[in-house]
Amino acid sequence: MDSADNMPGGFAGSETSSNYDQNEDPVLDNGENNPDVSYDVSETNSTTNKNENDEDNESNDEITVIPDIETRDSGASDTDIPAQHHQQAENEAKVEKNANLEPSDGRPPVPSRQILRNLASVDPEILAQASIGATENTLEPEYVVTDDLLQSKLNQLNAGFNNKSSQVQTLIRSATQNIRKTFNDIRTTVGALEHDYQIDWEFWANVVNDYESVVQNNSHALHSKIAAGIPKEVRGIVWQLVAQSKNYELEEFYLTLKSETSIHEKAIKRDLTRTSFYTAVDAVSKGEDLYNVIKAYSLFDPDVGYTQGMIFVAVPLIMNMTDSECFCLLVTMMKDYRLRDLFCPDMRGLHRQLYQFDRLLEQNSPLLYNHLVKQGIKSSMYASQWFLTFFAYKFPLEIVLRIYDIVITHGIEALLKFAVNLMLQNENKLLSLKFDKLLEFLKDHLFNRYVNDEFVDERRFSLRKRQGSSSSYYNLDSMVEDAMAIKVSMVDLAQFEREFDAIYASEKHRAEEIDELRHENGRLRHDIKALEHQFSVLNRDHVDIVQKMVDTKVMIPEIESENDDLQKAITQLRADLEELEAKMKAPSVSSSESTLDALKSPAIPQNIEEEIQRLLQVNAQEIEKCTELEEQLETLTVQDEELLEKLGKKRWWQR
Amino acid sequence: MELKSYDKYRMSFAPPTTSVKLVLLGEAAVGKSSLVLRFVSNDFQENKEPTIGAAFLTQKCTIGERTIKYEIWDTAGQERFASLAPMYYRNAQAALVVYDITKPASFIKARHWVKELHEQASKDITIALVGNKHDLVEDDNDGDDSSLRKVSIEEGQKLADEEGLLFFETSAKTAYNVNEVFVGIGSKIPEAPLLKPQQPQATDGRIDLSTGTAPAADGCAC
Repeated sequence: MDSADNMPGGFAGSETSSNYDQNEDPVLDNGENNPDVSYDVSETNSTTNKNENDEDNESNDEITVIPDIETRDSGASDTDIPAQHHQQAENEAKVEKNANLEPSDGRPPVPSRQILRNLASVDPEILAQASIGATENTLEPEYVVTDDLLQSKLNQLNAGFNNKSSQVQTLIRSATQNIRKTFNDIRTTVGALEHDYQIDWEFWANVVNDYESVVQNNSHALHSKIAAGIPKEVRGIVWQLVAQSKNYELEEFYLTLKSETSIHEKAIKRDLTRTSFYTAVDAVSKGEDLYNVIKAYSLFDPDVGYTQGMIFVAVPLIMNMTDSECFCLLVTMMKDYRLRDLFCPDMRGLHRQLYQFDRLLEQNSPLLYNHLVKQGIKSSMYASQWFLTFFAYKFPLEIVLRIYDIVITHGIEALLKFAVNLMLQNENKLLSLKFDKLLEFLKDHLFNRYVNDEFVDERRFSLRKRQGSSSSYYNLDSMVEDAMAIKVSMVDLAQFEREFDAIYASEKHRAEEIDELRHENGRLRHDIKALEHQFSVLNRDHVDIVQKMVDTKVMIPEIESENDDLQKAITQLRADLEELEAKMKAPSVSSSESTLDALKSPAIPQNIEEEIQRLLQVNAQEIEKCTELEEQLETLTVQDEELLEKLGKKRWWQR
Repeated sequence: MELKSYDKYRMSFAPPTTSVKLVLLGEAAVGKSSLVLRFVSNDFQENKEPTIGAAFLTQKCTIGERTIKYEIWDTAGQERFASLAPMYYRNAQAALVVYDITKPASFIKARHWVKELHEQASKDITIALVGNKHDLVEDDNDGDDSSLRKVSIEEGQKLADEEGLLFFETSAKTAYNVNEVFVGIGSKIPEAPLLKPQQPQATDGRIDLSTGTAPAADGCAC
C-alpha cells in the first residue's frame, strides 16, 4: 500500500502483510504501541513528544493519549514504527534517515494498521528473511511470537532511550560502559573458578557488549539462553543492560532521596518484615537497602507512593545489584515496562492485565474459561497477586528470578504467558474442582505441576519445606519453556487493551453517573428532610388549629345556652319594664285622685295615726280577750257537759 | 415417625449447612488475615505477609443445631485495593469490619467501611465491628496512661450501637473472643430456608409462624 513508499525497508508491502486485512483496524489505537508512536515523533519534535511522555507517565491516563494518536492516525505514527524496524535492521544510520524522512513525508494517509500488524506479528519473519537467514527460518511458530515480544520490548526501550535528552543518553552510555567493565571483572574472576555448570561467557559477553545485534543476529540462541535462565553471576548486569536502566544522575538522586523522609515509611517498614522474601534479603544484609529503595521510590513518584506488592517486585532486583542500581531499574520498570500502571492508585494496569489474561484464557481454553465463569471465579480473585508481585507472592524466589529474566527481556506482557500456561497445565485438575477447592488450588498449588518427579511425594508438604530443599525442586526449564510456547500476539493484546479501555471508560462513566446520582439523591434527601421538617411544623400548626376549633365548637352550645338565658332575661326584663311602665301609667291615669289621696294622707295628723294604731292594738287585744273568753266558755261548756254526764250516771246507779 | 418425616424434609429442602458469604474489611495490618487464620486453622503467625488482592477461605461453625459454612473473603487492607472490595462485599451476608484498638486511624477507617457497607452492600447484611489486638492491652490497669490502647471499648460499643452492629474486642494472637465473633454473626444470620415459603416446617403452621417471624425481626434489627 501507500505505506510502502514511506517505509524504509518496505516491510509493509510484503506479502505476509496482506493476511491482515483492514477488518482489524482497531489495532492501531492500542496503547501498546503508544510509546513507540510518541517516542518516534519526538525525534522530529522533541519538545512536544516529551510532553506527551510526561503526560503518559504522570497522569497514567491512557485515554488522554489515545485520541492524540487517533488524530495522527495514518500520519506520523505509521512512519514511526517502520522506522523502528529499520533501526533493528540497520541501526543508527537508519534512525537519522527516519528523522529526515518524517518531516518530508507530508503525512500522507498511510494505512497505519498494516504496519502495526507487521510490527506485531509479521515482523520477525520478515526480519529473519531480510537480515539473518538460515538459522532464523528454522524457528518454530511459537518462537516467532516470543521473538515478537522480545523484539518489540527492545524497540520500545530503544525508542525510549532515543527520546531522552542527549545529556541523559551520555550518562546512560557511560553507566553502561561501567556495567560492561563489571561484567568483564566478573568474567575474569568467576570464569576462572570451576563450576558445576558451564557459563557461555562468549555469548553473554556478546549480549553485554551489544545486546541489540544479538537480538538481530542470534535471536534464536538468545531466546533459548534467556529461557534457560541468565546465569546468576551476571543476571543483574544483563537485566540492567537490557533495560538500559543504569543512570548516574538517577543514582545520585537516589542518594538524596534516601536520606529524606517519606510518609510511607511506617507502612513500608511494617510490610518489609511481613514479606516472605525478606529473610532471603536479610540473609545477604540487603534489608536496609531494600527499604531505602522502596522509600526512595515513594518519594520519587509521590502519585504512586507505596503499594503493597512493590517489595515483592523489588526483592529480585536488590538481590542482584546495588541499591542505587536497583532504584534505577525499578524506576525504569515502572516507566518503560508500565509497571507503574499496576501500582497507581486506581490500579488500572492491573485491571487491564487481568482483562487481557481473561481474554487469552478464553482463547486458549474456552472450556476452562467457561468453567471458571460458571463457578463465579473472576481472575481478580486469584491472579491479582501474580501480576502485582510477578508471581512472587506465593511462589519461591528461584521461580521468580526466572520469570524476571523473561519479563525484563520480553516486557511485562510475558507475565500473561506464565499465567496462561499455569492455567493450561492444570486445566484438567481445575475443570474437576468447584468453587472453594478451585480457589484454593489456584492460590497454592498451580506450580506443583512443575515439581520434579523425585520430589513428587513431597507435594503435600508446605512451601517452607520446599524452600529448604535443593534448587532443582522445580523443573524451571520446562516451566519457562511451556510458558514461552504460549502464543501471545501483540495484535490481540492491543485489541484486548482497546476493549478494556472502552469498558473501563464506560464503567468509569457509569461510576461517575452513579456518583452523580448519589450526590443528587443526597441533595434530594436533604430537600425531603427540609420539606418534612416544614411539613411537621405545618402539621403541628394544623393540630393546634384543629384543637382550637374543637375547643371553640365545645364552647358554642355553652354560649348558645347563655345566649338563650340572656334572651330570656332580656324578655323578662322587658316584660318587667312594661309592667312597671304599665304600673307607672295606671297611677298616672288616676293621678288626680291619688295625688289627692297622697295629698290627703299626709294631711292626716300624726297623732291621729298613732291613735289609730293604738286603737288597732286595743282592738287586737280585745279580740284576743274575746278569743280567750270564748275558749273559757268552751272549756266551761265541756265541763258542764261532763258534769251532766256524771250526773246522768249517778242517777242510773241510784236507780 | 414425625422426626423421620422432618428429616426427610431437611434432606430434600434444607441442607443441614447454611452457606454464609462473609467479607473482612479494615485498614492494613489490623489483623484481618490473622483473625481468619485463627478461626480457620486455630493458628497464629507473627508478621503475616500483607494480603495482596484477596484471599478466600472456608470454615464450618456449629451454632446450636445449625451448621454454618463460612465462605470468607479476606481483602487487602491498603487503601488502593479498596476498588476491589465491592466485588467481595456486594453479595456478602456478613461483614467483619476490623480495626486495631491501638491505632485510632484504623478506627476512623472502620467507620468509613461501615458507612460504605450501609450504602453499598446488601440491605440485610450482618456487620460485626471487631477491635483486634486485645492482647496488647490485656495487662492494662484502669486509667493507665502508658496503655497502648487508643480506642476504648466504649467508643467501639457506641459506634456499634449507633449503626446497629455486633461488637467484639478480640485477639487473634491469644484467640480471645475470635470464635465468639463468628458464632455471634451466625446466630444473627436468618436461616435461609425459613424465609422461603416451601420451608420444611411449612407443614406445621404454628411452629412455622413463630420461627418464621423471628428471623425477620432479626433482619429488621440490623
